[in-house]
Amino acid sequence: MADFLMPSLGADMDAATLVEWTVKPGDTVKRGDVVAVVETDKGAIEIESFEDGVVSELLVEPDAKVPVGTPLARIGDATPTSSGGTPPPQQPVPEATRPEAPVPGTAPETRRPEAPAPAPAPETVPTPAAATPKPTPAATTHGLRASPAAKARARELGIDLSTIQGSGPDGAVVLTDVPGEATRAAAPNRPPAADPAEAMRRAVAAAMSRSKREIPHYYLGTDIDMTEAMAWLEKHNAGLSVNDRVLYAALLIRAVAMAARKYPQFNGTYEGDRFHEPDGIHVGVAVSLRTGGLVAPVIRDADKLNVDEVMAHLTKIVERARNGRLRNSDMAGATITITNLGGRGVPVVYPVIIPPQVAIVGFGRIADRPWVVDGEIAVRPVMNATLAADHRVTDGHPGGLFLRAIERFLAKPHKLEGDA
Amino acid sequence: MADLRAMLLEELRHIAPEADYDLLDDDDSLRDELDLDSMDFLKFVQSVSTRTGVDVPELDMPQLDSIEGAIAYLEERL
Repeated sequence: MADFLMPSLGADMDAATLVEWTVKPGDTVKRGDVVAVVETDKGAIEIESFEDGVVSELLVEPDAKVPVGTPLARIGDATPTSSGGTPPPQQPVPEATRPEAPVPGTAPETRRPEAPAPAPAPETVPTPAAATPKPTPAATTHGLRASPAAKARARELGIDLSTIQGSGPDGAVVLTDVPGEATRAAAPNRPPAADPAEAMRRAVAAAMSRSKREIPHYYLGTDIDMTEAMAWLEKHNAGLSVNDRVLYAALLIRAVAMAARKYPQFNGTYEGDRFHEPDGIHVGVAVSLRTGGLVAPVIRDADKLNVDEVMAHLTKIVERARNGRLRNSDMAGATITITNLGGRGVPVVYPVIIPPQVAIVGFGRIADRPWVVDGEIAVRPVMNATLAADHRVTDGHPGGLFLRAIERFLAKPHKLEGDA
Repeated sequence: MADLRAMLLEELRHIAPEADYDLLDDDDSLRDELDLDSMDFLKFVQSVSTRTGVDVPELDMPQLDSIEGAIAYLEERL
């Protein structure tokens, strides 16, 4: 029997409000199954089980605010329940021998909550198809299908979900279907709901203020000739259907991951007055939300994935972020982050490091510019990359080497393909 | 053409539900007017491709960056 603890949801988020359970006592869960939905300043997050087992007891009621690390439920061994669905008898474990539930998505040496940059799913978490939660009565409302984020927002605003036209799969109600301005139904016992946009803004403000207060940033920039990278991408995509196409953002993620492998002092966290090297290279990707605000879900082990896998992960986490369906495993564990504002036409980005990470790389737009090639002026697609790094950990010289590594990888994109 | 236009707008509304479509001219850049980033635009093209059965090679994708461009492109291939 193990306590299922409230997991880390990112730095500066040390508590969340339980919105609903998606399992009940007696249900069998597998590692990666969604078992609950919690509300944070950055929106609703789906919480996954970190082990196989049978839910024996739910310890927290919906609407309770729960600090990270608090037991939420008890999960026992994965033994069959009785035909009546009653859970197996609880086997109390002496305090001294009770196993500590691991915090998913975080490196062993970085257990404290991290920056609100979402993290990619841990490598051992089942694929999304396998991680689909079992349907339970709690998964629907009045027989309607709705995403947890939509249910949380509707509940917060006092809106009956059955009045909302769903635009999701099979007519499911998703977050963007829930009206932003709605007359609140009478809910005398519920305290006034916080404005989600305001809560998001506060979360971003807290993280960025902490970053500028604690981290001595230094900045280095370089212009990168993207001719080879774009040619490689065109060739790679030529035979692919539109559903399998790779965006150049996937190449940027791979380039940063491969550069971080070569220069590991840019991949990790600074806590307790020292640098911590993590268990892998987990790249956070800044995603702006159409409703306002910013999250940075993570692609784990980005240096070990091929370009197509990176693109698949990127598509999945962006979709989750924009539909308000991020999971706790998406939210924590980033070891370095990228922010790409090229699509917004921004030529240069001066990014802010997400604590407790030690580096972030910003990419600007790709634009045709005059460029010297073999002593002659040519027109080349050029993109700016800017590194912001923590001066407590690195100095300008290794920073320059790191940036040059990114540039060299993009100049020889076949090195970014990865194993098929 | 009216059906194609309605379909395109329906798919755009899934991606950018908050946009003011009354102010969207048929020759406006969808990426600029609706703040579509590369992921959004790819998703739009994928949806249109699924709805119409027309595969859109990567080099052709910019042609779908306006309502009139997308309609012209699709009508040639349907």
